[in-house]
Amino acid sequence: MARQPLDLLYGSLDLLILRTLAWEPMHGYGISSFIRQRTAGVLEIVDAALYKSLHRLERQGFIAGEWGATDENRRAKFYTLTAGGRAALRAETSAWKQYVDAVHKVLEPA
Amino acid sequence: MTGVPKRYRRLFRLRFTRADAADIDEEFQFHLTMRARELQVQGHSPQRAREMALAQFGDLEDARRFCHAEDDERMRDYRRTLWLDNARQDVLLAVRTLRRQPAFAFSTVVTLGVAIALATSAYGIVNAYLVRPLPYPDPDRLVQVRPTPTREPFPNMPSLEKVDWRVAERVFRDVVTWDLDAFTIAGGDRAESVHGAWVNPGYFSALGMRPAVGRAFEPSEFTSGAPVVILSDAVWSRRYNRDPSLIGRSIRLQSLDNPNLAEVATVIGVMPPDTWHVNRFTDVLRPLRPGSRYPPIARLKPGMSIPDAERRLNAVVLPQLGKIDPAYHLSLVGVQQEYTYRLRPTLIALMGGALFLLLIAGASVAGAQAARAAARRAEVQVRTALGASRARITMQLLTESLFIAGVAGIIGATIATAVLATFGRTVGAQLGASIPGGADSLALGPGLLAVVVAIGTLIGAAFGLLAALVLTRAVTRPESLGASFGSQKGTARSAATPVLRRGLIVAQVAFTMMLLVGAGLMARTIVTIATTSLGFDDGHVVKGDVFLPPVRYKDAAAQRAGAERLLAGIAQTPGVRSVATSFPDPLRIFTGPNIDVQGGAVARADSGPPAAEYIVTPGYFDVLRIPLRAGRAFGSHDAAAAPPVAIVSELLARQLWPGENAVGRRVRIARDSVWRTVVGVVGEMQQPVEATPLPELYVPFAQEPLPLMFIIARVAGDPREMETALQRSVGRVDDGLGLANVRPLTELTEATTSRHRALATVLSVFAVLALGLAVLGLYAALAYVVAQRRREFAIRIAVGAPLWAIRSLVMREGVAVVAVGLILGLVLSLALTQLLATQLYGVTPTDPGTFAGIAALLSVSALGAALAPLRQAARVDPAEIMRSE
Repeated sequence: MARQPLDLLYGSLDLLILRTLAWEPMHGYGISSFIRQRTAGVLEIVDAALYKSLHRLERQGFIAGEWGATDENRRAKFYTLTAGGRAALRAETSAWKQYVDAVHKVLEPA
Repeated sequence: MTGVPKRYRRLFRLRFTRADAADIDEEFQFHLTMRARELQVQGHSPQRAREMALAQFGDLEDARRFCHAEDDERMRDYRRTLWLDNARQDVLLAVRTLRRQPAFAFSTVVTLGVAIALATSAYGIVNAYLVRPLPYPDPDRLVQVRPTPTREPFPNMPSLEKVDWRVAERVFRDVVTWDLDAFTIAGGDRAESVHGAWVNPGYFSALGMRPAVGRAFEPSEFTSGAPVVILSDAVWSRRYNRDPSLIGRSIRLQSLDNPNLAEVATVIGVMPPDTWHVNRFTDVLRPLRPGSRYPPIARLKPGMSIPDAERRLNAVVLPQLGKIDPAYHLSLVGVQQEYTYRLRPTLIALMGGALFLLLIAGASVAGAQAARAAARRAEVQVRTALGASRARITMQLLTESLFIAGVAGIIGATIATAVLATFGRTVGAQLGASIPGGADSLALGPGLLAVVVAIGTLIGAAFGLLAALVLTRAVTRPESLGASFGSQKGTARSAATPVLRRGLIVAQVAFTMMLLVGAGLMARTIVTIATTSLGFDDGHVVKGDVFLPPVRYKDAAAQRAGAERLLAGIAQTPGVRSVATSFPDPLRIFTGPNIDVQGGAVARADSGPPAAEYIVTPGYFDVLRIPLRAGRAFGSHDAAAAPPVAIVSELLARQLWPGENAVGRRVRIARDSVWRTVVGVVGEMQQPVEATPLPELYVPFAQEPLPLMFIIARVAGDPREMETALQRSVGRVDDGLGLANVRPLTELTEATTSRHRALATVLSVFAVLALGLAVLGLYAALAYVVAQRRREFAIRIAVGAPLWAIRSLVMREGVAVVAVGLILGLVLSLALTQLLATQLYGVTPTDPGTFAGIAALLSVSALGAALAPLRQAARVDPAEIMRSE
């Protein structure tokens, strides 16, 4: 590994999970691999934190977990984005963009 | 599953209502396995891959704990929403069901609502008297001192007059003593006689009393017997128009018991309007000089128990009494307990009656629910088939019952509040004892009201649940499923439902019998009271109190002359036919000490039979129309200097000279030295219900004059309208005299029996309502049986059964439950009417006539209830029934 991956900023993991599940229902391992591939390893996810986030989001009603079978016919818990989760994703994405813009303006003043 | 509409999905939902730790482990395990496989593909050894996956995962234990907590929380939320969702659905379904059957809903709500209202009102009254503490600080620490012989009868009651009661002050923290007195307030438009008391400092400190205007008595005013007075708010309003400048002014005030005191006293304070005293004599308070006085009420020292204080009090008092019967001692009783002693049976009967009526109402509602079971069986079976659990169905039926009972509870609470605020105010007069703390203390606080209503509601709901449970048990049995989708042949009829229905009818009949017996006994008591001759005619008679102030009426001669002038003046009032004075009053509300009479056969004995002494003027027997049986009445010649004479009542004459003529014999009051010649025998006066019956001995006023007299006058018109005219006549004779408490005598005679009449009325209302409910319940049950067995009757008729056989089938059902109910009711009544024993007069608690009459009344009512179902059973048309099947 060339350099230390960035620590995930607080709250951004939830956003990434919601965004990932917006594609399709996925199990925890799938989400973990997906995020790692998408960011080419820049964002390293601590799996324990991922599962904590998943169970919290499920309790909050943003995602719903259901046991199902993988392509290889293994039993796994799949998470689906709920209507509430979709709304939360919309709101959080725009909030995140504002935040990034703000940080950007500080780091690279025009 | 997605094809199923959302609101039905719950029916198929599996029981995922608990978080499972194994789920989390499996989820993590899956992740680790997949990750390790990925690493193995990248070239790591299986062992190494597994270690790396684990390391990359992070703190596994922490994650597991966290996830489990989150899942738990989620499941709790889920169960909560599921429950709320169910509850909401149940309420909606209940409302829908009830709207389809408005008659059922209405009658149920009204039945339960009225029963709850009555029970709540009854509790409000019981609460005000028995539960709510007296309106004094720390009322639990206040006790009443009561001389207690532990054996009846107790002939040698020691005299407590010579005891030095100051020793009691060492036993208690505070001692409350008072000396009752009557005062005449003169000045202004007219003089007025009012009740009052000389009170000690403890009266204020122990009872937490303080004047609302002005100040209390100073310690020095008690010791010096200062001429100061505290008035009641009522007198302040009535006589002085609430004038604040009255404080510090002097008024003319004459005491009856302390005639030699100056007639002038300075007003220093006015008590608050809501002042409530255990005794009623509250219009005038004056400072009582320290001394040895019997302490009726005392406040216990902090930390000292009642038995402890009782032991100490007896230790200091009993030795002073000399040689006494060991069965005698002083006991300490809570003030509230003592105050409500006589009311307790009435209040308990009231509360009990209301509760039993509530039970009957509940049984009636349960009976109606059970009768609806047939109609609902199909509905419940469909729901069961769709996957609703038995608990879920029960919950739904319970919701319906709770909904009905809840609405009934709210209606009941509203009615009860209104009843207590209106009719409740007369309770004090009805019971003959004012409500502690005033009529406002009847109102139940919102918390208490809610509790009472909730209890009533739960009782109502419990019966609904009972019916529901039996219904679901009958229906959710698998073998009954098919039957309901076939014909309504009644094959699914469970054995339990008829047992429950019969049990409910039995309970209703039994409880109704109890209430009827109670009401019947009280009615007999009232009839006895009403038809028992008083021994005197109280119609058209006015009674008033008058008091001759000893300042102007110093001695016996002056009092004699004063009474003569007064009687002459009143006799001239238009409308007055005859007038006399007596002491005490004819009803002996103002009790004097009983006397022992010596004479005749018992002349040499130490004491003769007890009797009541009356000091009367000659017109007394004429005014009250008491018949003269032998000899003559008093006349003007029975003057002070004339030979001492007496008149005895028939009973006393019989006791003293059995079988002989009393006229001409001599009689003596035990404490008196004068022997009197009996000049006449008169009819007996009937004593008030609760007094010990005593024969009468009459003495002429001229020979025993008194400053206090009860004026009784027979008038031509309405005795209620005579007050002003009489007052004016009295004022013309002496403007310093007042006629107090002017009332028709009938009002006073009625007051002595008002509690009995109130109880009789209330129990009668309860009993009539109960009878109505029981008859309705029986009717519904029999009608249901007829409806259920129509097919069977049709077959019987078709094969040639006579109509009477059909009728007897129905009757057998009715007769059995009514008979069992009557027997049970009889047993219950025998046990519970003992409670009424002290309130009964002229009838025993086990009066066979009443019991037989009530049983007959119930049987006839039951027969009436059976008539319509019987006719229906006979009208069953076999052909029509067969076709419809």
